Amino acid sequence: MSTKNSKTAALGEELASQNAGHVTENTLQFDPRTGELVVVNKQDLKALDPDVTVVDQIATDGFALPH
Amino acid sequence: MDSTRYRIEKTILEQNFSRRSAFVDRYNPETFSLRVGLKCSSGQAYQLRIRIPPDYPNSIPRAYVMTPADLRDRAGQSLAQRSPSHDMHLLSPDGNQIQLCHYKPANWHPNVTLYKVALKCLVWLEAYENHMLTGKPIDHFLHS
Repeated sequence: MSTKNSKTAALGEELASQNAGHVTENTLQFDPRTGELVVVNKQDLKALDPDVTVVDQIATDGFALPH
Repeated sequence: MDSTRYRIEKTILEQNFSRRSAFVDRYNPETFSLRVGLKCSSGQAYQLRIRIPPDYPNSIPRAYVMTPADLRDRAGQSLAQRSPSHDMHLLSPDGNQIQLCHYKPANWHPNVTLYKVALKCLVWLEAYENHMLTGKPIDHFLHS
């Protein structure tokens, strides 16, 4: 699997885990410097980077469904 | 959108989507929208049109994918033709521009900004790219 595909798959696995209600060791972040979502291990968070946005809550508070 | 809210939205977008977002037709309530370019972890870029309703932020904006045009599912079927769709989290399209589900009405609040709507759309796009990788529906990746 290419690096690009592995990054996409890692995001998909994290989204699916959070969607299933699992507490994971990771967090989803948006980095405006790259413009991309990334999966970051919570243990690797040395300090909260003021530039990034944690997306976990945005991702798990539900997406609308058509009526 | 009043001028105070417009300035707030513009400031947040410039901080986070610098050179990747622009308001269009600000003084035309029929067409006022935000164009935003989003990039997935695969490197694929998407151009979105977020239609801003006249009573925004009291009501929810609508998000459409402008490019790539006529997105397909893994089986090759047009997502616009599949819309609306529960398992793919799609609302009614505008022509061949699919409309993404983002905030649920119950979770919408006037304090939610267009920046957060764009982030939610980016999460949808990553789920779509995983659908294309695995064949699993977008509903597998996104919480309802």
